[in-house]
Amino acid sequence: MTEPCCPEFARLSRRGLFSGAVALAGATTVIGSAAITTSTAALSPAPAVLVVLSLRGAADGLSLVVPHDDPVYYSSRPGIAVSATALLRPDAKFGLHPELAPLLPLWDAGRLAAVHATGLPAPNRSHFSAMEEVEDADPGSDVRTGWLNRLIGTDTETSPLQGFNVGGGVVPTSLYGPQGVMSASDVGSVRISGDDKWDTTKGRRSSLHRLWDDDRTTLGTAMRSMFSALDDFAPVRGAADNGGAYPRTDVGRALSEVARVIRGDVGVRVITVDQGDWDMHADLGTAERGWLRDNTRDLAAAIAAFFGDLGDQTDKVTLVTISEFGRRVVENDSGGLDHGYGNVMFLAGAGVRGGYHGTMPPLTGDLDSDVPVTTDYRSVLAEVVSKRFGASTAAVFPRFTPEPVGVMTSA
Amino acid sequence: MLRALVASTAFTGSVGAKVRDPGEDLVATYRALGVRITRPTADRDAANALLWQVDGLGTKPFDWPRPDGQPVDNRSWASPSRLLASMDVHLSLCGGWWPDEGINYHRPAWWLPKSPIRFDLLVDHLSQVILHRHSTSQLLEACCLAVNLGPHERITRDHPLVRWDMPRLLTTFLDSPAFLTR
Repeated sequence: MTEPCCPEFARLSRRGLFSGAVALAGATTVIGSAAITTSTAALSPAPAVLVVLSLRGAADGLSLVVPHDDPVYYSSRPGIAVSATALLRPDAKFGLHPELAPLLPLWDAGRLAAVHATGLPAPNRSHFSAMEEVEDADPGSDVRTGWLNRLIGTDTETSPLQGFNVGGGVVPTSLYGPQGVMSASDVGSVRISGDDKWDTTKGRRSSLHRLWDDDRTTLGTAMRSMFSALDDFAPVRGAADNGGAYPRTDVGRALSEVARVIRGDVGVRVITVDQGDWDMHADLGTAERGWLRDNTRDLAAAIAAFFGDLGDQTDKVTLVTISEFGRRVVENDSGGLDHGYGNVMFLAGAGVRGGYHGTMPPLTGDLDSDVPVTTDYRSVLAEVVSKRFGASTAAVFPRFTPEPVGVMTSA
Repeated sequence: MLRALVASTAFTGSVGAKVRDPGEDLVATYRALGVRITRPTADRDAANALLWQVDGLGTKPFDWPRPDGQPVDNRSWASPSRLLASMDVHLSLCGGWWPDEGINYHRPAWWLPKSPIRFDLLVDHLSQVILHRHSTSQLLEACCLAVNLGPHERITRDHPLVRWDMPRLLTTFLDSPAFLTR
């Protein structure tokens, strides 16, 4: 019997990440297979908000954005290829998977972009290792600091609300580091248990203050930071919960929490959401039914709902999707795809120059054929970092010289 | 080499200065509260549920994805989110609310060594049972604040503290610096 996803990913998807492992970093929220993390400091309003949605397990970019002009794509995938006639918004080379239809309003407004053939500078087919490499984004360094933690470290703010992970357990590597962040599965769980309506004297809080206010250890610092972050977080709890407008799925619920955090306008700059379940070694399905089609439909509906739920914060928010790697060109005997290399990244929202980007060379159809990487994923992220945050790309991506991608407009 | 490590001043000097990681925190909490768990027959049983509890605190045993092993340092386990998660697990266990299958909790009155007892003496007793040390004026004050009682309050088995507020009192010990370090 074939395992539909590989054993390594099955272990990883159960991984316990640090519960906001970094003192004062941000907050992480985990919702089922989707985990949300954000970061903030008593915080000035966020000049821009970046939501990084990780499609864990490695989504198949060739199915999401199909290079329909390449006959090798069709000859390599007799059972799972998406027909050229079904593609949405085709140009001479690419077309969108039909289940991305909920995103067409964004696409037509020039606010959604797809950058194809992106990835690491060299192939890495281990989920955990590639995830670490992508999110650390500082190859050769043994310092455990992710690129999003470096990004929130480029200003003078120190609140743990700068970064927020919506999910449970450990914050992703991208957000891990010396800057404090928060992590929670939902807005409602960012609270002190026992600090409730039955505690009429507010004794729970004052008791904790008595125990910790004089404590000069790392834990004491974290406790004070927690108090400050909770107080600053109050407007988020007051923000409307519009979860009913989203798919009732992990990613739908997670993005509804993200939108709530953003509408709270408490200064959160960076939010991470982990969404699992893209490791389709077997039974990937077709454009009409099956695993990938269901995931794609869910993803598109959730992102569309999210951009309809940002209120007056809409012009601040950019969303990026990323996977640890892409999948093979050639379909395997189990109707799935094994670990590959190059992949597509989606960018949506503020500052995005819509449409297709990236260079896709002709595919080859051998068993070991990958989508080559023609754009280092850091070049894409560097454009977001510099155009949206005005941050130094050298500080966020050390020892890396970005190449122009053109997916972000000038600020 | 182990003998040399244990004999070093750094080893003895680190006592009480190390943050309990999620597994240590959860196991210590179960022990301190004297709960008994039974052999699991369903997912909901405590023996299974404690894995989800420890996951919420940060990570399950053997779950660290990288070959370098989960961190053994203070910073990695000292974050606002972890503290919120720990306080949630502590209170839930102090109240006997969850897990609620395959587990036996002490009843609130069990924590009274005698009845009646003065509140400050009860706090000192609980400090010795849970934290293995006598209470301090700071801890007593924190306990008084937590349940809105004075140190000389006379506690009996049907006192409101025993009927309603014992979880708030017990969790004050578990959320203290002394409990979250080792």
